[in-house]
Amino acid sequence: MPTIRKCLYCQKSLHKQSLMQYMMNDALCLSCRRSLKIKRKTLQMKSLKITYFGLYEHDLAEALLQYKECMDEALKEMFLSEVKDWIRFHYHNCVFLCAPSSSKALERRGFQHVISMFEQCGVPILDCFEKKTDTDQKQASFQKRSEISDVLVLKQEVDIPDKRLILIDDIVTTGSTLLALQNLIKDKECTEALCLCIHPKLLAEYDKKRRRFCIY
Amino acid sequence: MKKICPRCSNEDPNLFYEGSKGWYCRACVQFSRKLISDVHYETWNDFPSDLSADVHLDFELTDLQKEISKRITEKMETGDVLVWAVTGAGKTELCMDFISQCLKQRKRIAVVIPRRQVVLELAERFKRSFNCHISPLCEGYTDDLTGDLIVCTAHQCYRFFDKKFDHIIVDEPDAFPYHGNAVLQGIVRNSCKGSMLYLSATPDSSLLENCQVLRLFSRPHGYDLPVPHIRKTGKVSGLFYLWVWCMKRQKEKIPFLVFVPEIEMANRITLIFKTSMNIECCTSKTEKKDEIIDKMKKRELSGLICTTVLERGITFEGVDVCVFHADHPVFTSASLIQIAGRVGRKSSRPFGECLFLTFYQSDEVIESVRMIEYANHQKMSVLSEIAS
Repeated sequence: MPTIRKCLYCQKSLHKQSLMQYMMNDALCLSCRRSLKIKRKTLQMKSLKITYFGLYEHDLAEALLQYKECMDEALKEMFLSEVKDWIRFHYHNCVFLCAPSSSKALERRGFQHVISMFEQCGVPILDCFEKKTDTDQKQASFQKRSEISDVLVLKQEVDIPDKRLILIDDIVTTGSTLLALQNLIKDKECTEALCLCIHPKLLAEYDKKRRRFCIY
Repeated sequence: MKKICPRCSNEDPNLFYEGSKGWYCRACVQFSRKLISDVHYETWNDFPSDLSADVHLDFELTDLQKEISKRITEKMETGDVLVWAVTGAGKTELCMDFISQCLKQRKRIAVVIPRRQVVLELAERFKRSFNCHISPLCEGYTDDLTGDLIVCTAHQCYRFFDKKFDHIIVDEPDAFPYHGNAVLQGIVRNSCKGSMLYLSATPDSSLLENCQVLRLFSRPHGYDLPVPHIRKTGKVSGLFYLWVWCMKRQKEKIPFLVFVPEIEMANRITLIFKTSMNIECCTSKTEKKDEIIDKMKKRELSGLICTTVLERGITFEGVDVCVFHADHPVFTSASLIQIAGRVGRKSSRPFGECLFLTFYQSDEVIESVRMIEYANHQKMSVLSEIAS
């Protein structure tokens, strides 16, 4: 019996796809793909240029929660599949430095969710940071999040190559993690970050200050 | 090797994925990942030594209710039981004796209800009848898992998969989202190691086939179920007819419920009618739902314009009911029967009017009226069967 291909997210039959999705062998149906609203945009935060692909709201937020909190590892290929060619082309000969998870979360999940997601783009990823303590950022206040720099450290045994360095993360809520990571490797030049989505509040703040981003 | 999810019983090979920690089921992954190799079980905390399992009811059960209640306890020994009882027959009270027996035998038991609103109302009713720790578990109430008796939505059952109840009582298995949802049904089934008790006014064929059926087609006060009047109207004239119907009830001080198919329609009708009536709107999107329902119960409001969110589980004393656009696909025969069942539930006013305003006479409307008439007709035959 031939197996019926199903949408990776809604698990309905995959018969409704655009021609481009069919050609690219997309794992999502047309309505799920549209609901994620993946679109490339950038914002400048201090000396860091952040490229993001969506807002952390509605369906994208729900899908990310299912991936991270419900540990649905199969979803790793759905987030960046639309832009993976752009990432591969635009960032060839770059090394991606991944934002760390707490060891507790890592043990619970069994996979590093940011690495699994970006691995789909076929780019080299270096897991060179770690958290000293198991702090949970989910419930942390805006003020508390800025203290993340005390927790993040560079792994001692890792040698960072002399290539163009790109920081990667899944969600940017206040940007403190990325700025702290940038600070950790300040002897190397790293001015770019790539993330799946940003929090709508951060974007609102950014829009309000009209590219003069100075919340810190 | 064929894979089966230990939590939701999914067997579809397309819905299994091999992750870093092994194979897991993707059908029920929204309840957190469950590895198919992970089948460890946990034990329950002991019941408190001074657990009181006696039932205190403000009224006495009728002879028929006592008989059905006794039969439930007997039949639960041998397998799943379905109590097919008309709306307002006192299904909750019927199973209280069984719950009491289970608690006396120190068995773990849960009452599962598909709707959040009904969980809270039912938990309150159980608190009045039982002198033990009762934990309601639903959206917004998820901290207390230690109750001697758990009242929860079907979604919350996944928390007890590792422990397993001795028995589960499923109230309204024909309601959304439990009905037709294989994942939820699997999770509830796998959270129970013994037999299950289903309480329904509108059971589907699979329940009727797979369970031992106990029928109860009469209400405690002995009055017939109100048979709905069907009135075919046009769209504008229907609205005018509804306005006259509501005004008449407000004048006579009879509380009323108007069921409409869509949230937006409910908001608009409320906006128009509020100019001349003391009414509120109650839909799934309404913020102060509990407050509005409370006001209605205290008769501070003349009526409510609501969607199917209030179709089951909630009792308003002495209400008349009207369904606007009853031929809309939202209203299935089961939901129309439930809506008609809001009328005449209390012995203080065991009758009332139920009106279906339709633009076309749909099969669902006709089927619901036929089923209510059938239940009224069967009442006598069940009475004689029980007597014999």
